[in-house]
Amino acid sequence: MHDLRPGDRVRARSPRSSFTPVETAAHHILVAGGVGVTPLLSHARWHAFWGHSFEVLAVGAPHLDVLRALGPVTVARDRRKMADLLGPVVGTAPWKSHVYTCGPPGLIAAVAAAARAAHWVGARVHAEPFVAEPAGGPFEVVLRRSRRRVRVAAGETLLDAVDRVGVAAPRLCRQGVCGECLTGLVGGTADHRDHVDAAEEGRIALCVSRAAPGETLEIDL
Amino acid sequence: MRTVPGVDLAPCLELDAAAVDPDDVGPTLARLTTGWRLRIVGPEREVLLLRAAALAHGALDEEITTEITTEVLGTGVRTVYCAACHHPFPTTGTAARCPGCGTDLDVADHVSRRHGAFLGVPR
Ligand code: FES
Ligand SMILES: [Zn+2]
Repeated sequence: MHDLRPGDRVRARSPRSSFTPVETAAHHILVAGGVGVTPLLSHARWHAFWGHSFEVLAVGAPHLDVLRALGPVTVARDRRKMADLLGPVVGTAPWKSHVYTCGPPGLIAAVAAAARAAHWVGARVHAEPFVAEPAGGPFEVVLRRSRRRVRVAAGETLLDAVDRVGVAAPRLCRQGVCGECLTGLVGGTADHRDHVDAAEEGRIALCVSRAAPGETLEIDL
Repeated sequence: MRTVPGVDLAPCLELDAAAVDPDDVGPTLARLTTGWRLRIVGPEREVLLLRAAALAHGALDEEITTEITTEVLGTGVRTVYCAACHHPFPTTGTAARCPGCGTDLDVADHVSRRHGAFLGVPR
């Protein structure tokens, strides 16, 4: 990068995003918390342009006037009111709906809970947190079934580390919300950062959780 | 509808694969809300074709369960998808001549989710 000068040719790829609308959806539910509205504004513009069916649920979000010009918007006064709104919207959504949440982890967890209560499968629930979980220090993990010992670097997730050594692990949201990556925790004390109470089941969310300071984890993988 | 005491089961639409035309599955699904599951029951060939139609209409794998009523798997009529000319046709057994292009095919164990058919490999 630093050797480039004006006029140099570079290779570029098209933009990539892990938070894109699902093309086959019949209806899109966009849930915005605070400044988490930002990516959903793009979603709403896109859906309005192409005439897709969509609605917005917002709590504490700016740019409401822009959103209202694009399509239906329901505003919740606070998080509790949002939880009341979610149940009926998710519970009566037409076949082939998808829900997209951008906001703090608590809001993402509330949407995931409403979707689960309405029997939605995880693949229809999408989320992007705008508050990053604070990173943690390095630690070691023993993969019991694969008989490996892996060092997880600071700023690397447990899931990344497991991927790096080529051990297969399930995942979906990568945000500690869906529960897909929960793996049995057989040894060590974890710093649980998920929103699905993995600790209560003696499991750990590989995508967000880490070892408590000074601990080595042993997991059933 | 099935019930399990103490469990809040997802609502489930049972489809009799022998009776439901795959072409009609789109409007049927459009009447459901998200959260419904599909349970497709019947002979292997019809189940695979109906599942392929449901997937084409936006159902997800996680939302579909199937139950094959053919006594021994693979002994009933199966749809074979000709690798040479892409013609799908029904047959029994492990070898067949494609009615589309006349190629002699071995019926592979590989079944396509999208086509609901077994792959016919030219000999
Ligand atoms: S991938 Fe969803 S909780 Fe870890
Ligand atoms: Zn052929």
